[in-house]
Amino acid sequence: MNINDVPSDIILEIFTYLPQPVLVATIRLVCHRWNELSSAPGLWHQLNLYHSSIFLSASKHKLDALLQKIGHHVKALKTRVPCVYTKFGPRFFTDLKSLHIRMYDNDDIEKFEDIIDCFKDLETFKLDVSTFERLTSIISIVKRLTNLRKFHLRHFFCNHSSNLKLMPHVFQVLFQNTKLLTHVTLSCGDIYLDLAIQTLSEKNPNLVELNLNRCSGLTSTAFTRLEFSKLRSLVLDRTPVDDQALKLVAENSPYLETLSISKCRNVTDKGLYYIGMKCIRLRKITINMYSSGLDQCCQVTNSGLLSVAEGCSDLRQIIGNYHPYINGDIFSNISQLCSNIQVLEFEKIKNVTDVALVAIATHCTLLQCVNFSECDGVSGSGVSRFLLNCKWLKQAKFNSCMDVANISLSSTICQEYNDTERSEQCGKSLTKSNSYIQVLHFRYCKYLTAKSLIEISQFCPDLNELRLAGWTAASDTDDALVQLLTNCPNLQLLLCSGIQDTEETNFTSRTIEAIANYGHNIKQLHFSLNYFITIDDLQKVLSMCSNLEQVTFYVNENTALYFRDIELLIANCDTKKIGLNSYKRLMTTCCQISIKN
Amino acid sequence: MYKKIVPQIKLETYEKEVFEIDLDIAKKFGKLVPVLQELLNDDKPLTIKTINSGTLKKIITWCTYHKDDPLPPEDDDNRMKHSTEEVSSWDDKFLQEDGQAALFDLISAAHTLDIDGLLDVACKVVATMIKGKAPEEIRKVFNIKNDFTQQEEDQVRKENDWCED
Repeated sequence: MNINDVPSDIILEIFTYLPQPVLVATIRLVCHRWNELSSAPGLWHQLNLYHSSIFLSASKHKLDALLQKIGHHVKALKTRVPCVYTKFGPRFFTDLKSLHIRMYDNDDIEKFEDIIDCFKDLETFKLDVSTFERLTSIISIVKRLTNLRKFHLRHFFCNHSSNLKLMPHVFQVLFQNTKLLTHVTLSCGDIYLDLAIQTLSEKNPNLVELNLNRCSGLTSTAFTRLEFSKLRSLVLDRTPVDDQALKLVAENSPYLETLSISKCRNVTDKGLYYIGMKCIRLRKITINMYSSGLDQCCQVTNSGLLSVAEGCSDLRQIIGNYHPYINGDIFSNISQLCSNIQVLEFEKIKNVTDVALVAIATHCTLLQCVNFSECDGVSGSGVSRFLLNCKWLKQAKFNSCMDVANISLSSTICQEYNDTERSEQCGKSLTKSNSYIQVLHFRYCKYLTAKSLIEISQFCPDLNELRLAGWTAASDTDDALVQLLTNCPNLQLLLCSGIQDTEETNFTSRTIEAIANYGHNIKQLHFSLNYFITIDDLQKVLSMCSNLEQVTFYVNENTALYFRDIELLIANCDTKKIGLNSYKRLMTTCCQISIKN
Repeated sequence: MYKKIVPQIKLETYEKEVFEIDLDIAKKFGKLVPVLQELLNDDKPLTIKTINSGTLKKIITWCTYHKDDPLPPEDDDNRMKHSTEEVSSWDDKFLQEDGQAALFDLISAAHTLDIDGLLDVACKVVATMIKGKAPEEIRKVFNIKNDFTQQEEDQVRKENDWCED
């Protein structure tokens, strides 16, 4: 069958995987049929005029011509205030259901009002604002959208604080007018919100998702009259809510599936105990901590998290990065309680050992994504067992696990077979075993051996992202990378710089040559200071890797590559699509070459 | 010895060749599953004239390989219509090894049998073949005739040559 015989609905299915600018600039010109198909409704349900430079820089005439054709198909539009009004006019968008507007300080509020009045039947309205100062007037306009199902308000800048004491009333009026809301996101600093949330829960009983990230003006009082019997997702990150609030949530939200309480400093094990008791449908819990003082941290320990694992037997995702009071002892229990778990993220958790990894690998065979970066007790043999046992694994991160040196997958298989006759075949079985791993991070695993990397490359034919920054202690790194590049043809991102990007690595021209020869799919390359790689090598990579988008590396006066040579090389490239960015740090210059395809 | 009987369905291809397919593999056939289940006890095969034997063999291979695929983790990103996930190297090789004609046969059959996962990866592969090419190159790769008159082409070009802005 030829593409000309393929039915139109299949061609359209293929076109849905193409970016909209390609549909406009290329597909139309292929033939009559493709020209017609490229305006099909299904391809234009969403239109983002904000991000695509092609759309932003287009003349009014051309946009009008495009919108005349496809505007009435658009159901979801993202744009800025002046764009919508002055350039296109709402007349094109006759079927708009969802609007996402980014609003800046100096945008005309009357134009905003005009837009809202044009689209009174909107079901989804998302608003990003640069300031809360005009919020009172903005919200009193938004409240005209009585058909609203989803409302989303966000501030571009994170730690905004305001002194607008009038605010709660404005939100109350908004939530009294909108009775159909199912999804609400409010991210509005220290504005007092308790009364607004109470109104929301009284007037909008069908609420499914509530996100109150960074609402520091929130207390447990907000939840006293909670009637969200249908709530499935609740995000309370960085809010001062306490155990009492979680108790109220747990008692009134039996369908809760997702709960996020990162940096809720007033939450303790008791709060999680209530969740484990009542929210038996919970699928995902997030308790990140990340970098800030202990006073910001929720007081949850292993026992709190365990009570969730015990109560919520269908838990799929647990995310608890950088949590100071949770430690690796928890995994022997977690692994047995949550056999359906798919995602585990526990970066920088104390006391995570190989024993923990093996327990997880034995019981949680459905795992797809893990992050055990900066877990000191993890070694190569634990990682080997882990990678082999979790056969659905797609993403694994073991950054800064300093004891990960020797990952020996083939001998681990042999031990499991416990069969000496077959031991010869172990190496072969490695290449045949199907691993779905696509993303692997071993940043700052300084002592990882070259042999480990070779085995990994044989085991993971689908690998497309490998981060190896700070891989400085191994010898034969060239060998390993050459094999990696031949074994993993899908590799798109390869990061192999030194520690802090300026320390040297041992890769020579051989590696570069392999990249040029086998790295057809590579999009991003990141190298460090290096004394072996020459300008010829660089030229080879630039000319051979047709999908390359970015190369970053460091030079100084001792490297074989000189900055002026690179400048010359770039200047001599006949294509305009290539650009060079550079900045100096002490004696070292960082060069970033970007290529537009 | 007791042998577990695996329920099978019978499909007849364009060449009138009959294939017996295990039901746990045929469960990938989306909307067709209930139809097939009804036919389970029938001796007569279901005839699908639009699919040839070679294509059906490939489909059985694909479904067997992917039979235990787990569902992706639920996430906001995954709720979009299409997953952004890369096509795996096995799929990529499997889909392209028999050339373009076979690939389109397969896509068309996947559409008929409603095999979402296969249609998804196959369309991605074709989209990758289109991306980054000029209209003339696309015509060449897919053997498409340029049916625009010079005048028409100039007109479409004038309307749509966005890149020259």
